[in-house]
Amino acid sequence: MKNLSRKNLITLLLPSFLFIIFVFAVPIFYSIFISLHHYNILLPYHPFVGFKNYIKLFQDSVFWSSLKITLYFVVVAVTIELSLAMLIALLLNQDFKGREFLRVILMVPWAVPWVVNGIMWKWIFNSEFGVLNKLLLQIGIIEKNIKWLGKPFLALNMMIFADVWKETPFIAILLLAGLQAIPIDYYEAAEIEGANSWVKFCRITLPLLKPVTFVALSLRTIWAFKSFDLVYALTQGGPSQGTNLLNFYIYQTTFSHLDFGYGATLSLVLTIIILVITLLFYKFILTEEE
Amino acid sequence: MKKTLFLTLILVLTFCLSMGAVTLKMLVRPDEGGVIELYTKEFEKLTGVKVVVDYIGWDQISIKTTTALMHKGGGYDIIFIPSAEKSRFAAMGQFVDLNEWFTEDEKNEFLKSFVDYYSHEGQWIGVPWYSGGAHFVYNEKYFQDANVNPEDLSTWQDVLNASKAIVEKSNAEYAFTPSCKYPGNYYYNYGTILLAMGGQFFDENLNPVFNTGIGVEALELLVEGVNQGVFNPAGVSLDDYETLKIFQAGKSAFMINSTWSANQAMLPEASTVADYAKVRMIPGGKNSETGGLIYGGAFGITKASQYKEEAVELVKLLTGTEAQMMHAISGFNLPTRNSLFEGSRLEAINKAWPVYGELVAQVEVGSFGPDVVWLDPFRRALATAVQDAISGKKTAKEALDWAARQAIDIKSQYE
Amino acid sequence: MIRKRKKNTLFKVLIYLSAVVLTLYILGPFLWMFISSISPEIELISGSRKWFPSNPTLKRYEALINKVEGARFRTAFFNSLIVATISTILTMFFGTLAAYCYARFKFKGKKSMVLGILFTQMLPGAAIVIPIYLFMSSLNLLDTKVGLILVYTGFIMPVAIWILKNYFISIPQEIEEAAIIDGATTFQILFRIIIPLVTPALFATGLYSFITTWNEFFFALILTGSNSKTIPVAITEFSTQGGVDYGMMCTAGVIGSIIPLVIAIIFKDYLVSGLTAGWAK
Repeated sequence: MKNLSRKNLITLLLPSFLFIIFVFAVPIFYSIFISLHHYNILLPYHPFVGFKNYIKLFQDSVFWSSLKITLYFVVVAVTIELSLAMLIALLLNQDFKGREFLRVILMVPWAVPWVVNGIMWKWIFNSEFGVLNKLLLQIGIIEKNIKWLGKPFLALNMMIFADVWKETPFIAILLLAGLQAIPIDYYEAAEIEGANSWVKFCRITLPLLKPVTFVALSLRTIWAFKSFDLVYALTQGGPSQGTNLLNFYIYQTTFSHLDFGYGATLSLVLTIIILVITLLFYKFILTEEE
Repeated sequence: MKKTLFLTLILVLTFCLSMGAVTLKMLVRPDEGGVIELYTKEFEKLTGVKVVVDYIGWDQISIKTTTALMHKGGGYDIIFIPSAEKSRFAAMGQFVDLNEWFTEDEKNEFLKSFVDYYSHEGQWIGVPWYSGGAHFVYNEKYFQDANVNPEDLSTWQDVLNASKAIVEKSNAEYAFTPSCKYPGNYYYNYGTILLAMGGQFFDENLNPVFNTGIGVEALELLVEGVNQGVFNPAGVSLDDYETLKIFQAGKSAFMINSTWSANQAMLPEASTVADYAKVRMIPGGKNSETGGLIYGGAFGITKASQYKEEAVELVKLLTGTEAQMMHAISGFNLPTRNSLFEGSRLEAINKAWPVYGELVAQVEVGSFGPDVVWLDPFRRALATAVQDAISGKKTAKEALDWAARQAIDIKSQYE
Repeated sequence: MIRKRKKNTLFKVLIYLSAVVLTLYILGPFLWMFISSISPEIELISGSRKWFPSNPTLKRYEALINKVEGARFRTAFFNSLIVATISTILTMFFGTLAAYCYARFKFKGKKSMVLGILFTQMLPGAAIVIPIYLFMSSLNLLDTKVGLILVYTGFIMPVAIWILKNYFISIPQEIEEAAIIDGATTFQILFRIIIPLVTPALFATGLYSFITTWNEFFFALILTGSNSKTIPVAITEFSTQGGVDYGMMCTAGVIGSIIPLVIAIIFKDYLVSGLTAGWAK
């Protein structure tokens, strides 16, 4: 790798760099700035309050319950998505009729806009006219309509269900590509040594898929922490704040309370949480590779 | 590098084209019945001024308007002000004082209570466009099946007692499905019942009182109904549109819902119970006959508008007798002009919309919600409290006490 | 031997069974949305046990595609096309330059810039939307397609650079080294040699950017109005007085998904290779 002349550096990097600064860097500094102020736009003055907003965070019970819910959402959703994606990838790596068709339709959930995903599931989960109840009633699994979004914890799990539908295919696509990149002679060699399928999976497939899996894991974790559209379209954080994920709480604080200072504080804290987790992943991947 | 130049050129060109041309820009809620569409077209024909209308869904009105008002009205000349957002939109100080643009006579043509409500610190900021409120709509057949005479229900306790018989003897799955999903649904659950029973949200010093006496009773009544299996607990995740659908499907025996929904319940193309849907006054409490929450909508004109004169003319047309009459006749909302509540016009509307008189009677006795800039966060806390109580997470008293503490805390942030 | 074949048959059955379940799971929800979109309002709430409406109707599609009521929706559709296309082109152009730079050269602060790219993905939208709004407002770019294009370009730039960078790394350096000896400049190398080699990759990344931009909702909600409203915002607008008109929403949802779906299905192979090259390395 060689060094780059200053002139080339500027022409190559500057344009994209400007875009990124304008959309990300400037706003983030602005956020840091207003998080140190009592910045409610309905008030005439926005006094500097130091770290008061950050201290408030520790006494804010809604924040803590929201953080708990978010962690549950992220851990459960990402775990299910990764496991399910692994199963799908293994299935699609088999040789059977219709495999190509399945690979194509795998693109469907990924391509559907998030807003549409929210609307779709809200309609499916509808307790009175939704197709989920209709289906379960006809099969005979349930006898009475279930109020899928009517109880806080159940609603949170249904939200995970909707998230899994939308996000799993993306991971499955990545994992499938990873599977296809594994040379077939590895397996043949193992077979000669008499290894069964499970051993082959654990000793060959999993270790070789590790890098892809970690990338998928960290990306999905970041995105899951930032889930917004789904909460917005599906539950609006309710009932009883049971689905009030952090990013939605930030939105509420900012646009319902119009408390921009505290909203900025919350979003910075969320950023830091994501950052720390990603750095842990990143470090893990790096040490793995070396 | 040529490519870059070319692209920049395209960008500059699109930019220039998007400017220019004299137009009025308007930010408004969804246009049921096409009233706005129709009258803006007419205005364009009459004056030659172009009108661009941005319709914005109810979910997004608050955020969209707030961001616009944060920066001098965001380029809009006319902005729709829902009654619930009035205080805080007004507090952002971007609307002109309409007293300067309307004569005293013109002003007096509107319902005084609405003009007063849309006044802020001596300035009149919104021309009332429509009114409406919560109504008690019931399924006559189910009431008959259970031998309940709807006129006998004078208090909510009576309603609860009758609900049991209704669920047992009619096809209704539940007597009532309250809408409790959005903060703004307080019109159709606890909020209206509280006012109907004679309670209040706050005292005159804006200290919460809804967590005492009638306030607790009202919520306990809702919870009791859920516990007895006659009120639908799914209400915690349903909005007023969804509960309307449930009523239209014949699954609920009555509902508290908007003026628009009362009309929708009676439309054969949307409702399976169109023939049985009837309206009566909202039942009250021990010391109160009836009551409830009402709402309205108005148009404000931004200070930054460069064409205030034209904007005023357009607003006058949209809120004019003819436009309001059409809005009412097509059954979407109630008017705000005195002349439409009396004489031949009243008759004309009543003819097209037979329950008009009953709906008006209900709105006349109702009141707007708390008139504070922090209404939205307060309603959010209240919605959580109502959901907590209905889902059994907290008792009614605990939930309301929590909401009261939240209210005090929220209030303090605006001082 | 017989045992093994039996096991194989069982295995086959299992595979086909899971394939069927998977197909239903993936297509079912979307199909239901489509069926709802052609069901008359009254059948949606009638509680019938049927899976297909007795009187299917295309009147909602007609309304959106052909009638006056759909005018705003159609405008939004074309806005989305324009905004997504131009931001994709811009991103691809500038992103290619930067990605090439990251892939081939050493420079100061390179490592922190790579981290910076990752960092941009962590910021919650609510944290940056207000300053962007104020910024756009002072530039007079609110409710213009240009404004939205600029924001979206910045928005997907980091991802595009990330994906493209991995492509460039996969091209052997010897090819360029030969050209350098011949005295070609950096730009000549990039445009004459590298870009032709990675055209499929550029195409794949472009498709990815296009779909991401097409689907974006939050920023579009805040920054657009009648001049520049995009499809996701228009979809959520099918709300009535208090809630949501399900039939209409489903219709809008189906129409709004068509473009990304068609792209994803037709160009599946490109996209998959793009996604995997970008993220799986």
